[in-house]
Amino acid sequence: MVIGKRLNALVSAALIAVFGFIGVHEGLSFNIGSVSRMGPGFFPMALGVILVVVSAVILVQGFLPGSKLNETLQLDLELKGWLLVLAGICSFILLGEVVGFVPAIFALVFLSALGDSRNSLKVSLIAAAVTTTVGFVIFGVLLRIPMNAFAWGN
Amino acid sequence: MDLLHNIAIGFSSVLTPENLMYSFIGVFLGNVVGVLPGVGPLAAISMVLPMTYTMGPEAALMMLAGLYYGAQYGGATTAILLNLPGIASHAVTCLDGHPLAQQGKASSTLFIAMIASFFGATIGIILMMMFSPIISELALEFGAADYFSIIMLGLLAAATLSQGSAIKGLAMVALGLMVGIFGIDVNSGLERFTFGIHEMGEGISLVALAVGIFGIADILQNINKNSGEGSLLGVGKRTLRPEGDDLRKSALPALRGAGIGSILGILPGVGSTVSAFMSYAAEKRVNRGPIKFGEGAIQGVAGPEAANNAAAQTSFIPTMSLGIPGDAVMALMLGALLIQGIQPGPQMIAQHPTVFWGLIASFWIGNLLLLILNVPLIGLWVRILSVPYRLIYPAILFFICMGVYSVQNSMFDVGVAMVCGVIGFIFMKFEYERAPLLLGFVLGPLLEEHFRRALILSRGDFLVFAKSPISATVLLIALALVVYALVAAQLRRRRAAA
Repeated sequence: MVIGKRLNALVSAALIAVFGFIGVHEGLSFNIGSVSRMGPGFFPMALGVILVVVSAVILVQGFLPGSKLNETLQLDLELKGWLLVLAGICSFILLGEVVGFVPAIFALVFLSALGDSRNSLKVSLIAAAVTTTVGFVIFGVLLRIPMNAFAWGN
Repeated sequence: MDLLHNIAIGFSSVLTPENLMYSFIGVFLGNVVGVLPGVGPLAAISMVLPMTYTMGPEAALMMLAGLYYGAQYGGATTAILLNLPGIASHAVTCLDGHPLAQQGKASSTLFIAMIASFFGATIGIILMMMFSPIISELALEFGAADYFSIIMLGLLAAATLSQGSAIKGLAMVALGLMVGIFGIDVNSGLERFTFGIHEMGEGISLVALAVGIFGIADILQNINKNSGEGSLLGVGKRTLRPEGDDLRKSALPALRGAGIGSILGILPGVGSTVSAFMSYAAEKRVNRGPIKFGEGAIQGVAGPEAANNAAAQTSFIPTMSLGIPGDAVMALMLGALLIQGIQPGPQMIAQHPTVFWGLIASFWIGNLLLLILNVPLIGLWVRILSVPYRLIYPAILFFICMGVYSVQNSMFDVGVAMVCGVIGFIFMKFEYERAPLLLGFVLGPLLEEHFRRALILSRGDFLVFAKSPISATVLLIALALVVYALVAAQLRRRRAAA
C-alpha cells in the first residue's frame, strides 16, 4: 500500500498532535504556577505546547515541495501477522494469572508463530511446546519466579 | 599510583566467579544478538534488564555493558557474510566487507574486523580510564542550570543528529520527556497523566516501554520479511586468519577510526553509527587513488569497525561521570543503575569504586573474551546466522512477556509493553526514530527537576542559564546544532528545487 504525500503529512502530524493535546489538557488540570514557583502543571503544559507546535511544523513541511518530509510512504500491510502476534500477547495477559502460565506461554508462542505465513501449523505447535517446556524450566525452576503452572485448581 | 590502585580494585571486582560469569553471559548474548538480523542491542538489553533486578550492581552493569559491546562484534559478522547490518552501526561495514567476502576473503575480512574492533575498544577504554575521573571531579561544581543545559544539549543532539528528519527527532524527544513524567510528581505528590488508572501512579516502567518500542515493534516490523536466508556466504575456514598484507593495510585506518570514534562517542547523541560513517568518509578521503571503495577495500572495514567500538566504549564516559546518557543504550544503562539504587554522576566513582572500576576491568576482560569467541569459534556464529527469524521471534516474544511480568509480577506492565509496542510500531512506520524517545523518557524527570531548581534559585530569572560559563557555553553549542540542522534542511530544499 502506498500512502500519498498529503496523507503521510497529515497522519505524521496528527500522531504528535494527539500527544500534544493530551499534554495541554493535563497541564490545564493542575496548577501551572509561575516561573519562579512552578506548579505540577507547568512542565506538561510546556511539553504539550511544544508538541503541538512541532506537529504543525511537520504538517507544513509535509506539504512543502522539496522538503525531506514531502514524500510518499510505502506501507506493507501484514494484518494477519500483526493481529496474531498481538492476539498471542493478549492471551498471555488474560490466561497467565487466571488459567496458569503453561497454557499462557503455549498460547503466546503458538499464536505468534502462526503470524508468519511460512510457519505451518505443525511448526508452530512444536515451537510452542518446546518454548513452553524450556521457558518453564528456566523461569519457574531455575530462576524460581513465583508463577502458577496451572491455576485452575484454586 | 592512584590509577594502578583503581585498576586493582576493578579487577578484584570483576574476577569473582559470579561477576565473571555475568560478564561472559553478557558478551556471549551480545554476540548472538549482534549476529541475528532483526534483533538489536536495544531490544536485547531491555529484555535482559528485568533479570538484573536481583543481581548486585556490579554484575548487572557488567552484563548489560557486555551485551552492548558484544553486539558490535557480532554485527560485523552479519554485515560481512550476509550484507545485512545486524545492528545499525554496521551498515557501513557492509559496503566493503560483503564484496570482500564475495571474493572469497571472508576469513581474512572477519579477522581484520575483529582485530580492528578490539583495537578501537582498547583505545576507548584507556580514554575512559583517564578522563572519567577528571570529568566527574569538574562536574562536582556543576549547578542545576549547568545540568539543565547539558541535558538540553544531549536531547537536541539526539534529535538533530539521528538518522531521518530533525523535526521528527525533536517530536520524539519531547514525547519521551512527557511520557517520562507520567505518574506521581515528586514536588506536589499529585498524579499526572494517570488517566484515572491506579497502576499508572508509578508511571510507565522503563522495561515495559523499552521492550515495547524496540522488542515488540521490531517483531511487528520483521514478520513475514525475508531475513536473507539463502544468501549467506560461508567463511571457508574454521578459524579466522589474515591473508596477504591485509593486516598492514588496516593498521592506519584502524588508528584513525579509533580516534574518530573515541571523540565522537563522548559527544551526546552521536554514538557509534555516526562514528562509523565518519571514519568511512575519512578513509575514502585519505586513500584517494588506486583503492576502490565499495568494491572490497579492507580499509573500509578496519576504520569503521575500530570507530564504532571505540565510540561504544567512550559513550560510557558522560553516562558514568555526569549521569547524563548520550543515547538510548546509555539511557538503559542509567536506568539499570537507578534500579539498583545507584545514582550515576560525579559522586559515583568515589562512592561506588567497585562499580565504576569493575565495569572498566570488565571491558578489558569482555573484549578479550569476544576476540576468543570470534576468531576460533566463527563456525558457531555462522550456524546461528542460518536460523531463520521466523523461528526466533516467537521465543523472543516469550522472553519479552515473561521478563516484563517478572519485574513486579504485573500483567498490567505486559499490557503497557504491548501498547507501547503498537504505538512505537506506528511511529516507526511513519519514519519516526524511536531511540530519541527513550532518551527523553529517561531524562524527562531529571530535566524537570533541574529546570525547576535552577529557576527557584534564581527567583524566576531565565538569565541564570546564561550567567554560568558552563551552561552558557553548552547552550551556545546547542544553538549551533539547531542552526546547523535548519541550514542543512534549507540547503536540501534548494538543491531539490534547483
